[in-house]
Amino acid sequence: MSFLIFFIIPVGLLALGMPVFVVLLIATVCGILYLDLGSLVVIHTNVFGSLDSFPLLAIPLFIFAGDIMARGGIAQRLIELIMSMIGGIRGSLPVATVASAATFGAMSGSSVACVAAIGKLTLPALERSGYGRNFSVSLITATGVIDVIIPPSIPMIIYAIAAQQSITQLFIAGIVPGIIIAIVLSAYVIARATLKNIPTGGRPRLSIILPALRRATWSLFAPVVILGGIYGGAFTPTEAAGVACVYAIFVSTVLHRELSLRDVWRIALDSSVLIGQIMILVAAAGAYSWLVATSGMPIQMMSFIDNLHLEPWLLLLVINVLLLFVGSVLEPPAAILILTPLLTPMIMKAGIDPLHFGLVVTINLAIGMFLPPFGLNLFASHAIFRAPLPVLYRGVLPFLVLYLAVLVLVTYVPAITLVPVKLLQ
Amino acid sequence: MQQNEIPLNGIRHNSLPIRIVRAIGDSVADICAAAAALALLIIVGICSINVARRYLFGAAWSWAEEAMVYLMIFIVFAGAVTVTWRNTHMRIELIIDRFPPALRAAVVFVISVVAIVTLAAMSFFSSEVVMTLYSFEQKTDALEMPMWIPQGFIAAGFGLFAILAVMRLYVHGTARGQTELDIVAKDAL
Repeated sequence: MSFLIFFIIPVGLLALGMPVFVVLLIATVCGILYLDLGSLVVIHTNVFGSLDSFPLLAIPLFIFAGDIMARGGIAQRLIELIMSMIGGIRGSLPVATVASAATFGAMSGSSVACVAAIGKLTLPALERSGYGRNFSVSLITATGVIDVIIPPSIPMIIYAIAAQQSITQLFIAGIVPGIIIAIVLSAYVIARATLKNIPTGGRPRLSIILPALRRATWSLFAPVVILGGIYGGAFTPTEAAGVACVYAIFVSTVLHRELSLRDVWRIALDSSVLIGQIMILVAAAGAYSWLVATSGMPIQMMSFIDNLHLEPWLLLLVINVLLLFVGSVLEPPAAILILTPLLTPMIMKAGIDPLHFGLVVTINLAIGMFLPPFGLNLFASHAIFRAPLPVLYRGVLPFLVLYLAVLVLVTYVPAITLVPVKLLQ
Repeated sequence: MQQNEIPLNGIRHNSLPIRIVRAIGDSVADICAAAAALALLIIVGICSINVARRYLFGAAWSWAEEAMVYLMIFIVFAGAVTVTWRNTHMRIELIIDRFPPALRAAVVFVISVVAIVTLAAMSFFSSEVVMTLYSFEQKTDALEMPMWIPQGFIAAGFGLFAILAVMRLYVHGTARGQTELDIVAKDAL
């Protein structure tokens, strides 16, 4: 019966297209009634309790700051600066695409928006330079998910809160994996350009770089304010997000003059709706997590895992496969909120650090976003660039292999995520 | 109207009752989005002023964190009201979108009714808590605001979700909402 309540009902309702937060509420109601845990009033208490958290405030503020930076020219100026510095070596344009996706991703909270924005800015240049439309679109599709991995990442904040971990420490743990992914992707595109003998293009010229640098000066301070403030200990992540909002509004309206106050209001409207969409899941997941904990399900699962005598490496392998599948059908915030209460006790029992596991979860769900056949970014590229899905499925395969290689590395070498945390503590 | 939309109510889509319900739904969704956006801007203001006060004067507002958290709870439920009216809650549509139109419409109808009943029940049980807090005159720690107000956002939110879901079913039948993907794709094209 527990299996029905915790697995069959939620999966069945999800498959039938019911909103995820309602599925979580229904599963909680069924659990309370079946286990006779008292009045349904307890759901209200847990919904309120899950939102009554100051660290959680970082999510709405980062969503708002990211949207202003993306639409107020801050992200675009940084990308233009990156593009101005390319040339002279083979593969420099796709490398710039990767760097642009990382930059935009660190500011915007949406992979789909990242694919659209980066595609608009880099696809014509990539095609002109001889990289071919299929490769170029596949590159953009695969690099668009980098925003999930590069801090400050909304899924990381959600995981940190769901698993009761430090947001700052999780951000620090994400730095090296993010850099590794960027380096691996860059190495691949350079190697491919060399093998295909794609022309190097002209050398970067100071006459182009300097004006781009001048235009991007204020934009360059945005990551400094956010990440420097957090890692330097000046702000908590929530405060950094709030300061980032003010900085982004000031730069976009006063210095760049790309946004009017009316535009800022429109962005606030859009952001508040997005916040409602994401955080109602947090609210419902609070009640579901309480049910999972109260029902004794984690203890049952831990004893089940104990009885299987799985080695930690094998447990991580099984979880990786599960997360990849879930990530391809469910957006990262929803997947994290559903699975974290179930998986975290198991991995802690197996002696795996929950911070390290947070990065494993994050990278898996990022890969899931372009994993054929259901990854959301594949559909985004199909809709935006009119790229046929079978072509995209083939095109993203090399990138998929690279991401999976990094995933294996991060999964089985915990030092990649944990050493920076220890060093910077 | 989308191709796979099956009218359930048998009423013409531009009939007066439909137009009135649609106008009410649009207004409620717009008001909630505007209130949530205003609350978001207030949070940004409080957060940044509080950081500045801490660094410049060595003293932060003691009530700031509590105020910001309660405003966030308001944003979540007000924003989600708009999401409910637009039918853009996170969900998996890959499987159901492959159903034949008639079967899809029937499944969506049943799912919608189950969701509405659940949300109405949530609102009912939340209201019980709110009424208890109201009768005890319990206050929050820092703001000393009546506790039923922030807790009331939840009862009101679930109630509005249920009402708007009913209205949406009446106006739009089983049509799917516009997703972020649809919006980005439309903008790009």
